[in-house]
Amino acid sequence: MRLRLGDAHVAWALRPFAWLAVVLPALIVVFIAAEAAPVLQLEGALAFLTDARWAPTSGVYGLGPMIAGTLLSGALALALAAPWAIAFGLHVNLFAPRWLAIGGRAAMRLLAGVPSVVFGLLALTRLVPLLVARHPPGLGVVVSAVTLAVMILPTAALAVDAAVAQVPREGPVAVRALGLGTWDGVRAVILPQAAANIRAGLLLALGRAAGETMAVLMVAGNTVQYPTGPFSSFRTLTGNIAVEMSYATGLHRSALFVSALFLLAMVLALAVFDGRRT
Amino acid sequence: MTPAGRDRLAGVLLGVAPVAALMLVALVVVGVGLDGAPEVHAAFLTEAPTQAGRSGGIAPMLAATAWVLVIGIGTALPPGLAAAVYLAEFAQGGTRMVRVALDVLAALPSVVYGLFGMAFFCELLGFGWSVLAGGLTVAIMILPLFVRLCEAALVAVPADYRAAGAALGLPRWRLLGRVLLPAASPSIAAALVLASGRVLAESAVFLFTAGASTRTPHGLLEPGRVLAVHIYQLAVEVPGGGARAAATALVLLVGIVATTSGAALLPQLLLRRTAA
Repeated sequence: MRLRLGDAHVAWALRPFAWLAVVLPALIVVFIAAEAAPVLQLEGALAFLTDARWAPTSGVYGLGPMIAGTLLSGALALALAAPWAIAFGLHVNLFAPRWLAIGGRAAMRLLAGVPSVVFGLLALTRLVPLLVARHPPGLGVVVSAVTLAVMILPTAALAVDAAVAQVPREGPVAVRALGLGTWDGVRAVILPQAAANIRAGLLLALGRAAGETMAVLMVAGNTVQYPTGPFSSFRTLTGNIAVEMSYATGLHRSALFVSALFLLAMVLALAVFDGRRT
Repeated sequence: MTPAGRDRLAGVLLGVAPVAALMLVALVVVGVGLDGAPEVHAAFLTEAPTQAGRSGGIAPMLAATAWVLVIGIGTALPPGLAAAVYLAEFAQGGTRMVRVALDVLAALPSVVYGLFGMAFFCELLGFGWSVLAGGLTVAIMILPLFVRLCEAALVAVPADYRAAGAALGLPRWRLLGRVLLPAASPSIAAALVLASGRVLAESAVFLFTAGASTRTPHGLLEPGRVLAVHIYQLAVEVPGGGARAAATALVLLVGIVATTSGAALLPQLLLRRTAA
């Protein structure tokens, strides 16, 4: 369809705003990369992976412990949140009485709006005191994973909900006609058909977990070390930036932008993976 | 086990999930309310903090939050709406790259926006730690969400309206101004409110761009500590700040719930008015 004269002018005037969306991510990546460049040129990207120590003021820049911390806390959070999210999406669509479907969805939307610092605060004041007697100071992997799981739960649950709702109803109806029940329909039809969208939703949630800063910062303990056990203090890539940025200068500061680059690479890899599959 | 038996069992086991979600909401409300409610009174909202926030109020944080909210939403609205109008009404193919870019923007962690804002607005443009830098950075952060929602709002306008416009020989831009935008305005308003919720909940972006000063910002280029950052500072940096952190969280939660339930109700309210 071709646009008429006046419309063509309006389209021409509006087009730059749409392209702004393309310019902005490019600009962001360029700026982060430019700030990271000095230390990358000096040390090479590999040094950030091979060094096990992080002592930026002495020129030692190993990000391995932080990358491990981000991956571990994200994976644990997803392992906790995914079953909950999948059960939620199946139940509100197929099993729940009306009040519970409406109430459950409203609850998830409310939770999605709760600031991450509030989850961090609740973890500090309600969860950590339960652990502190046995595993002082109570901070570390377990609390972080639980906090993150609660944080990403609404993203994952609402995505699974939408994925299940999208599956055409004919399949389950056919399963019923065979004398089987709703659960049989879930296994035979709904889960296979919704699988791709469910996976996309869970990957989105994993990206959220990897990118979360403040909540984990409050409960991780933030020691630079490979996490060794459930109550080991650890640090994430995002936490590394937040802890040190306020006083970092020169190459140290540049190294924090390298942290951000690694984080960007991880999150974008997830987004690409997700885009390729769906 | 019979099919009906399997269904009953599945219904009960899977039902734990939505019930637990409701309990989690209760836990958040009670967990914040128990510590926070006794601390919230009129003076808490109108006074400046003293003793690093252990006493006094949160008035400067309310002001800083209002600043970044107005700047962020005000900055994101015009280009966001223009992009959405282009994508929904005027684009003739070739928008795949724009959509991919919007997805990438939406996937970026907020700390990355924060670092970008710090390097670009605070340092390169010389805004320093300021509510202006914070507001502009958060505007970029909410842009993809806002464009997506506005585009969906325009696409959802019934096809009859467009057909009627075409039958009258109206150019598309006239149709847009007279019919499509007014018809989509309730959903666009809801999109604004949802984006506001995002701004209110954000902390990492503002820690890097607006700073953590407890003074009241009186201008665009002054630093300010938003409510979410105040909660973090009180909980982590101030020994004995827990109760005040919970009180601040309570105020913030009430603000967010009031805004977002507004988002749910707004379309109905506005539609009723235009229908009357």
